[in-house]
Order: sequence, then C-alpha cells, then structure tokens
Amino acid sequence: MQLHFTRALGALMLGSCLIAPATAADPVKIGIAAPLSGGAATYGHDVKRGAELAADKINEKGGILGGRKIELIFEDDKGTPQGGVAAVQKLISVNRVNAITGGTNSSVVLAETSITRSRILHVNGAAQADAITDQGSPWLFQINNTVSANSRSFNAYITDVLKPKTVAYMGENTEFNKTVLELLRVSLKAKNIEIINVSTYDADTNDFTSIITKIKSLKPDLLYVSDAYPARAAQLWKQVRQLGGFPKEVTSPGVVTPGMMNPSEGAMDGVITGEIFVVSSPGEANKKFVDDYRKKWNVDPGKGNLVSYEAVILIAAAMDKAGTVSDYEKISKTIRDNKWASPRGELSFDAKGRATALNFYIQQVKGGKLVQIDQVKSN
Amino acid sequence: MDLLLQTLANGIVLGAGYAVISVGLTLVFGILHIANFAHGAFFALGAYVMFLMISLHVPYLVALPVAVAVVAIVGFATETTIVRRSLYGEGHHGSIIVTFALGQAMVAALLLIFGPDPHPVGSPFGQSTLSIFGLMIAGQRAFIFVISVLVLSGFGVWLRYSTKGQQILAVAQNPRGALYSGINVPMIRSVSFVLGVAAAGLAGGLLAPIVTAYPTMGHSTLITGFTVVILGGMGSISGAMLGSLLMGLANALFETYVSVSWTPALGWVLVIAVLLLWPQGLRGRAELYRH
Repeated sequence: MQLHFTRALGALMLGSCLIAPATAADPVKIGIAAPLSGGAATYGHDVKRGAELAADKINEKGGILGGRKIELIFEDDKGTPQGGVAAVQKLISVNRVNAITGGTNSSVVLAETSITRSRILHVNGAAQADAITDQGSPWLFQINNTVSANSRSFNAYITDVLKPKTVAYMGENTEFNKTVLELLRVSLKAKNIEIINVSTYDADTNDFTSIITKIKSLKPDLLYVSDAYPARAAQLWKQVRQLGGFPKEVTSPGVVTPGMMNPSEGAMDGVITGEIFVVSSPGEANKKFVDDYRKKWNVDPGKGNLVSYEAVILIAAAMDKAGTVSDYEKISKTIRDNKWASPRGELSFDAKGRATALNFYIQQVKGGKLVQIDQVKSN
Repeated sequence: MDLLLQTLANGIVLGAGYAVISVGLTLVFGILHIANFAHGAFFALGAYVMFLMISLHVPYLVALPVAVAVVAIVGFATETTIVRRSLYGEGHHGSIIVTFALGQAMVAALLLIFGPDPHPVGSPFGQSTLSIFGLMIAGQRAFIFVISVLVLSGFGVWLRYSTKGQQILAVAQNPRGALYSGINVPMIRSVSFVLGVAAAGLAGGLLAPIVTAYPTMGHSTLITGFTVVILGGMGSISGAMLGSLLMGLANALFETYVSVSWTPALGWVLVIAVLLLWPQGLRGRAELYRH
C-alpha cells in the first residue's frame, strides 16, 4: 500500500511538472489520426501530404497568435474504428494536441467522435457519412461534402443527363454504401427509372464474376458501383471490363483516387464519377493551391489532399481569429460566424458544422486520369 | 439458358482455383496427419514472390515456376527445422498449434518486409477475355483452369504409377508397415510436405493477379481450403477435387440465382450437411485413423 501511495505521489508530481503554462513560442499542436497503414493507406497518405503543405504555408507566414508555429502530430488509425479510437486517445492524452483532424473512413471517424465530443475541437476532413455530423456535436466540423450532398448532385446528373432506362447496382455491404444506395433509389424512383438489380457483397469478396454475369444477363443501361476500397474496386472494374462492360458505368462520387485507377490498369476508363474538386477548377486561390502542391510534392493534388489542407488551414485561422487554442466554445462560434477562404472559394459552416461545396464536378476516367466532363451547382 | 451456361462455366473455373489451394492441404493431412494452418501463409508467400518477380520485369510464365520453387525451398526449411522435430507422430492438436504459429510468424514477416498494403500483380492474361460459344471467361481464370487441370492430373498419374508416388500412398496408408517394407519414411514425409506447400505457392502465384498480394490474403483462402477439404473428405485428393468443383458450382449458382450476401454462408451449410450425411466427407476413408 505504502509503495502504491509513493508511486501515485511520484506520478502526480511528475505530472504537475509537465503542465507548464504555454508561452508565446510554444507550437500549436494539431493531431492527425489517419490510416497510414491497411487497406485505406492511400487515403492516409493523401491526408499527410495535404496537411504538411498547409502547415508549411502557415509557418512560412510566421505562424498564428503572434508567432506560434503549427506542429502536426500523426497517429495511425489503421483504417479501423478501434485503431481510430486508440489514435485519438493517444493524441489527446499523451501528445496533448490542441485539435484533431485527419480521418478518412466514416466508420472510423464516427468512433473517434465518441472520444472527441465535448473534449476537443475536431475537424473531419474527408469522411462523408451524414451520421458523423448528425449527432450535433458543438465542436465538430466537416470539410468534405456529406454522402447525401454528394449523391443529390451526382444522382441529378444521372437522371437528367445520362437518362438511363434501367440501372443495376453493386456495392460493398457497409453503412456508407447503404446510404448511397438508399439515396440512389429515391432519385431514380422520382424519375421513374427502374433499378433492376441490387447486389451487395462482403468485405472479403474478390471474385465478382457471378455478380457481373447476372447483371449482364439483365442488360441494364447503367451500372452503378459503390465501393470505397481502392484495391478491391480496381479488381472489380477489371472483371467488369473482362466480361464486356456496360453501356454506361458510374461509381459513387468522392471515392476515385489514383490508388484506385492505377492498379485497375486502364479498366476504369470510361467510368463516370463526381467530385467536389478538380485540378482545373477556376479561381486564383485554386491555381495557387495546385501550384504550391505541385512544387512540394511533384504530383497533382486530389480531393483527399485538398480537404486535409483546408482542415488544417481552418483550425489555424479560427484559433488565430478567436485568439485562443483551448477555448473551444469560442473557436467553434468563430468558425460558425465567419466565412473561410479556401482554394474552392469561401466556405461557410451550417448549424451541424457542415460545409457544402460551392461546385460539384462530373468527371470521367480517361487514360487512367480523371477528366472533367460537366459541372453542376451544388444544392 | 445463356445465363445458366455462363454460371456453370464461372463455377467450374472458380472450382479450379479452389482445387489448387485444397489439394496441397489435403495431401499434407492425408500423409502426415497434420492440419496445416500455415497453408495460407505459404499461399501468400507464393503471391509475394510473384509480385517481386513481376516488379523485376521477369515474365509471368517464368516467374510462376520460380515462385513455386521458392515456396518449396522455404517449405523444406521449415519441414527440417520445425515440422519434423515437433510434429510427426504427435497427433492433431500439436499440429494445429505449431502450424498456426508458423503461419502467423510468416504473415508477420511479410507484413514487416512489404507493409500491409495490397500490391497489384500483373499477368499477361489479366486483361484478356476468352469467348467460347458465347461464354465469357476471364483470361487469368482460364489460365488457372488449364494449369490446375494439367498439374492435378499430372500429379494424380505420378502418385499412382511412379515408385515414389506409390511410396507416398503406402506411407499414407500405414507408416509403420511402409517402414518395415524398406521405404524411407522420413524422406517421403519431407517430400509430401514440400509438395503440399509448393501447391499452395502455385495457387498463390496463380490467384495473385485476381486478388492482389497482401499479407493476410491467405486467411480467407485457408478457410475456403478447409471447407473444400472437409467436404471432399480429409486426406482424399480426388475428394478435394470433387469438393472444389462442387463448391465452385454451388457458389456461382447461389450468387446468380439466390443471394450474393448469403454466399459466404453457403460453404458452411454444405459442410454441415455433408458431415451429417457422410461423416467422412464425400470421398474420405474411414480407415484413415486405423493405425
């Protein structure tokens, strides 16, 4: 007992030494929990590159709050909810970060919000599920469009421009894809377009021959694929191509990345998707972002890089404007009350903490790259 | 009608893939009485050797035998250092633990060396499609079918008609009797183990272009392998082939005509049904445990 008491006392004393008042020179720490390994690792590396560019830009200008630099601390969420919770816990209690961002997979971010809620500022960059911000957590914000915002714009393009007579759907059996499917059903029904087949498969599936064979026998006008897992989606499109393809092919908006297109080895050519960002978007701010990004990383940025960049910029700018790094009430109010400059134009956040993209771009894969073919206003 | 024929064709080529996986599993069980839980790891190893070779611009058809050879060498090394010393004559429980640990260690090694991300493996048949009487068969699948028919029938002939093959069968039936007849039982056991895991390596090299190479790729494959082997009868090579064909056809028919979401459960339902009706599996032998 005596020993335990001494130890506890020791720990207490050590702890109190660590809590020193922040000085003007102390960096502002932003914790980034992202999938740096596992099946979603390509998304995690997108996050890292975007965030590092943002930190560079802020620090070049001398940091925030009169000279405090931004320091990024990365933690691997492994693309799993358990990994995400562990990463966020470590960032908050060991690294003592001032804000959390990063996550890319909806189920992971959803789990993380149970830890960050009412505890720390959490800006969700890429994850799309509506459920994340539906909780109404006051210090939680979302940069990317939600699934429903994306689907509204993309489905309108399908029903009004592509005008298929019949549609077949295949997708992985997850929350994200279920939402995509439900929204698709609603949009198609409103225009009397028949959905003639729905095939959902397990995470382990790697042979889609039977599903594609069956769908082909029904001769749909359009195939809608919803799969956000790059390596598997690449295999799926290869098999679609080997079995002859479909007249029109689309995939759920916001998931197509080079990590999906490259391993498909050209099989995704012709597939149409939608996105909130293209490299060729108009505007000076976008041009500057694309140039800066190319200069630092020697490749073109994608949506994943952009939202992560915007998240870090937003956190820093809001803290600067609010004049605090830890009064989250004040920072959150500042975020809600102001408009924030971004490469896509001025972002504003609604009561649930969501930003909605000003423009939505329809893109098609051509020669292994995404090419813009149309543009619709977000609604 | 077209749909039915196409589905049957899909099922047969799917079954050919299962056959290459399960034949090595059943061989090791039939002869060594080891339920080899490291089979999936050898499968992954084969896929990774393929990935390395292809990255070094070695042509696919050259890389495939290299992958089989590398897996065979690793198999031989583990046989002499671990399996031989700990398992022969020890019964099934020890074999499950030792091979499971071996498999985990190999997967962890792959994870350390290559990282967790899936790597696409190119194949000259990867993008092509074969069209026979209006039936579409993916090039790589057709290739797997041809190779597995060739390898399995060649292996069956070798087992039945060559001296070494007959010695293997003799050891499987009765190791003590085989020893008394002058057969070099330890050597035959080595050969069987190496053949079994080399088959896993071949399966890895064949399936890698379809499933991509990642460290845990053997897990679901191992499960499929075991369901097929239980279905066909543990230790029976013809049973494994029959089981593969049945499982391939059943999966394809079920996915096309019933439900995609329920297909993973189908294998287990079949296994339960078979075990209830024919407890030894479709072609298993009751005398397997005689000695």
